[in-house]
Amino acid sequence: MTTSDGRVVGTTTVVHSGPPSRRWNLVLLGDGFREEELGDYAAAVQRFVDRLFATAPFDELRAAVNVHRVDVVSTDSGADDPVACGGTGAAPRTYFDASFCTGGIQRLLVVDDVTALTVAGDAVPQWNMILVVVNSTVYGGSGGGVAVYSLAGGAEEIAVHEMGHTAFGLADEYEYFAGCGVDTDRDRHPGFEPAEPNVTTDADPATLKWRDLVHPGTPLPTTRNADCRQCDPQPNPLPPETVGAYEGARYYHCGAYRPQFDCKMRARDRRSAPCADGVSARPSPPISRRFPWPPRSP
Amino acid sequence: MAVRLIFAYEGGDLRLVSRQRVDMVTPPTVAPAGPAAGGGVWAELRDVRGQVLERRAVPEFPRPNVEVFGPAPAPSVSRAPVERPSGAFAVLLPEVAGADHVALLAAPEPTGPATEAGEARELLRVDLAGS
Repeated sequence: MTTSDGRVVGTTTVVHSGPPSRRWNLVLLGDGFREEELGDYAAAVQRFVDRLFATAPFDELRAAVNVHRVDVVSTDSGADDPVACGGTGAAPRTYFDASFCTGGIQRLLVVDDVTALTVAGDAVPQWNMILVVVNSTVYGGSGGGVAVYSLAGGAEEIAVHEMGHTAFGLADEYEYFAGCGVDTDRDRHPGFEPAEPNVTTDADPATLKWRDLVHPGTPLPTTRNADCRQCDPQPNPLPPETVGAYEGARYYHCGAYRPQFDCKMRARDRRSAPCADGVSARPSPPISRRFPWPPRSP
Repeated sequence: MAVRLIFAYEGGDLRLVSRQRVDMVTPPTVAPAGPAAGGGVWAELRDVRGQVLERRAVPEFPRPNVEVFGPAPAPSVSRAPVERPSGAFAVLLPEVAGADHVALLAAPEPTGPATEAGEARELLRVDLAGS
C-alpha cells in the first residue's frame, strides 16, 4: 500500500533520441509487478511504445522524444479492486498503491501521484510526462498530473488520449459531459473562444483556427447539429480524415466545433483518427515550437 | 536551467511538496494561460515588484470532475463529478534572472461570448528567494 511495499530497481532508456536536457521525455512506471513479472512490464512498455510511434503525430516526432522505463518491484501483483464497485476486494501491497473505484467509479484507476512524481523525478529529472502501467487485466485508467492505464485490452488508448492533453494541450472533442442522452445542460457552448488549439466557436472560413488545413471544397461549418438538446446522430458525411469544422465539441452539443469528425480526443477508440491534422493545425504553438530542438541536434 | 515545483491537493487544500532545479529546456506552454484565455488555472513567475516574467497554464490542476473511460467493445470517454479531488501535479518554469516568487492563480470560465473570465484568485504563492 506504500513505498514500503516494493522498491525501485532501475531505469532503462527504451527510446533514446538525444540528451534528455534537449528532448521531450516520457517516463513510464510500473505498479503491481512482482520481481518475476518485470519482464511482463517491459513487454507492456514496448507494446505501448510501438503503439505510440505508430500513431500520428508521434510517428513523425520520434527523433524529438526519449522514452524511459523505470522498473519498480511491488510486493504483490495487481491493484486494489474494492467490492464497493463490484470488484474482487483484492488489496495487494504495491509501491504506487494503484486502486480502482476511485470516487466510486469502477474504471477510475489511480495511483499515489506524489510517489509517482517523486520516483520519476529521481530517475529522469527532465521528464515531461509520466505514465503508470498497472498490472491488472481489469479495464481502467485516469489522466491528470500522472496518467494511468491497466493491461486490459485497449486501455493503452487511454494513455494516447492523455498524451494529447499533456503533450499538445488538446481539448476533449466529445460533445457531451456525462454522456449522450444523459446530459440536460449541454445544449450550447457558452461562446467564449477556447484556448485549446483543436476546438473553436468560430467556424468562419476566413478566421477558423485550422483554416490552412481545410480543403477548398470542404463546407464550413462541415456539419450542424439540428437538435442542440442532444448529441448529433448524423454519420460522417465526408471521408474519415477530412478536416473541417464539425459541430459538437468540448462537452457541448452545439456552438463549438472540432477539426475532424472523429479522432482520439473524441472517441477513445483504436480505429479513431489520431487528430494529426488538428494538432498540426494549431497556429500557436506549432509543433516546431513545442519541440524547439531539431532532431538532428547532438 | 528550469525549476520544477510539485504540488499536492486534497479537497480544498493545496500545498507545495517539492522544488527541484532541472537541467532542461522548458517547452513553451501548451496552451495560453490567464483570464484572457478563458480562465482555468495557471502559474505566474514574478519579480519582486509582482511583474509577470513567465506564465504557464496548469491544465492538470483538478477540476471537480474526472475523465472516465469505457472498455471495448464500445470504447467511450465521458466525465463524472468527484466529491473530493486529490492528487498532485507539477509546474515547470524556466529559471529567469530576477524571479522572486511563483503564484498559482485560478479564474472561472466565461459564461458567454462577450464576457471575460471571472476575477483571478491566488491559490498559493511560493517564495523563490534563496533558491
